[in-house]
Amino acid sequence: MKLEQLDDQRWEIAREGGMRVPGIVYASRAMMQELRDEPALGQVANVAHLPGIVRASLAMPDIHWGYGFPIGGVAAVDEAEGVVSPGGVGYDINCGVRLMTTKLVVDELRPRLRALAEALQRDIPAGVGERSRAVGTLDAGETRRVLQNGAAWAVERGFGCAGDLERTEEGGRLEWAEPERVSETALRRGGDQVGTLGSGNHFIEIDRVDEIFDAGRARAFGLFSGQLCLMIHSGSRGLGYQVCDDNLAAMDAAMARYGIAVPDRQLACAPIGSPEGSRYLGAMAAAANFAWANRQTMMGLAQRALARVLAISDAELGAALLWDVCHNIAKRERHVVDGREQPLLVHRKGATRAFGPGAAELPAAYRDVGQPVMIPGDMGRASYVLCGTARAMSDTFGSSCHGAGRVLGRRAALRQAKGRRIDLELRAQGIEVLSRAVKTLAEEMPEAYKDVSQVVDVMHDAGITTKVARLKPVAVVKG
Amino acid sequence: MKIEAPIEYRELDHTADVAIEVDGAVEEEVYARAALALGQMLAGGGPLTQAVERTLEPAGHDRVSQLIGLLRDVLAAFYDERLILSAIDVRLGPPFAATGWFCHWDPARHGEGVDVKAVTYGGARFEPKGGGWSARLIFDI
Repeated sequence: MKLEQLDDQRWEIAREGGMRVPGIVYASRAMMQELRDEPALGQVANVAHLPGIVRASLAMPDIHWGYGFPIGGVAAVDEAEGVVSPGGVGYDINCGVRLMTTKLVVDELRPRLRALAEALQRDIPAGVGERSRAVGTLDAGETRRVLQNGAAWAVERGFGCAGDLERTEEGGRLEWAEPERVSETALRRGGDQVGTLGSGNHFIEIDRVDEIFDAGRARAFGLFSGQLCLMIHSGSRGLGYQVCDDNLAAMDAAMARYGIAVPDRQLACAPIGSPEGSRYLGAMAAAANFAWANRQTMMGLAQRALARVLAISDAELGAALLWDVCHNIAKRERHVVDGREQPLLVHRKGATRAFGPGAAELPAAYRDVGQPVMIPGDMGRASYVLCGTARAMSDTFGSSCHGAGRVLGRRAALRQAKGRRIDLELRAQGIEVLSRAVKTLAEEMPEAYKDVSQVVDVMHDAGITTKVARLKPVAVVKG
Repeated sequence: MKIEAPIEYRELDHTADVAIEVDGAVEEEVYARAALALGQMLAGGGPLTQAVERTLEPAGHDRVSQLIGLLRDVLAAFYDERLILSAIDVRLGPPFAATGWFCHWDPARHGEGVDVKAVTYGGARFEPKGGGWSARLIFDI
């Protein structure tokens, strides 16, 4: 593989073999030293083989080894001639992040942080096999209504308010969802999971606004120094996984019929307009709506938990959704390629939409400043609020990174954590951490991730997303 | 040939998820060991009894897709019925099929289990090795 440095933040993987476009990787020199021997770079090249891909196979600086696509990958394909690949979306369809702001100041609540975390852990089920308590088990008909209506389904049931919808990507609902494309197995997997966090790297985190970099945008986003915010990272749970599985198998079997050859079976794909492609996109959009309903429900539960523990009114809490982004999705968007605006299907696998100022898709409150982009880090260091730019629109199909990106495998993390109490180490730093599974804390310890500040700096220096605020975790609930 | 848990398998380094490798003298043994490795991960070291018997008829058009189909059926039993595979008898057929014996998931005894969410095609292999057979898989967790 021929890798050439283009500038301080970008590297090009030259076209060779069956690659239809080059690969472009955003990374600092130090990051690239670590990446050189990783399978992830080969995956960037593999994605460049997809029929209909335009301009480049992109990778953000949180790139790491995924299935088929690397995590942190972006691929836009021509909507008329291109393919859709479930591997370019990932298993956890519409895994994403939402950030809720409040009127509260963290430093006035430090003695209550553990009680707040315990209430969040109690009210929002997390971990293997946990079922929804607040919503219960939905039958297939009601689950289909979730798949059709997305976040609005949760708002109608008293979780959050209508104003939350306009501060959610796509209004919390992809209108081209086709719930009838979702299998009975997927419906069963999701039926008892609305309002559940999941496990692994999913979390609910209470943050303190630690530093403001851009006062104007911070004001527009409702952020102030010292503020208590709440971040939720979760997705479409078992339902999304099943949708991905069902369609990967169908596409794996169908590729030969369409004369498509890809270097990795996990890149299984089908023409967008084919029966297999249409079926997947309809089901994927439905699963995305499920994820928005799930995060909306959890935010509603979190609001109630905070108000109850602190014995304050909703008005005193002042909870407001800043923004909700998805970072595992394929979206129909229009972008300029070779000087011509054209309809594309943009796959973002561990990458966040980051539209710049003026984008018609943004709500009025953010249209002049650009789209908020939330980047969770690890549970010990920081998370960031960024803002999309015009440069993102021209260079990355309006996309940015999605997180810190793992640097240690889970086994390596467990080895490094042996004999340590990660929860006590973090408490000594003023961070309360709760998890039902002891192993999760070791697997998710801060050293297992890249320093999110370095990841964010690459995007900032490249002009793709600019820094608005840094958040520091003060209480974390893991699955 | 019925094979019961616990079995030996190798866990390989992977940045974000879990990769495993299993060997067997014959193909049936590789399928069985891979399926049981998944059961053991879900059980998290908890006890594995044989309380429920199920016939599995996974889809698949070659060794890799049959292997992934089998493990997806094992995972579906966990998500649908909270059942963990504890023993299995694989028949190459045709048709490719298996009889699985499962225990009921118990949060008190299987609480340290790995939350395996999917069996992936990423880097999946099923190939001859040293006179026998070997398979490699990555699980999304």
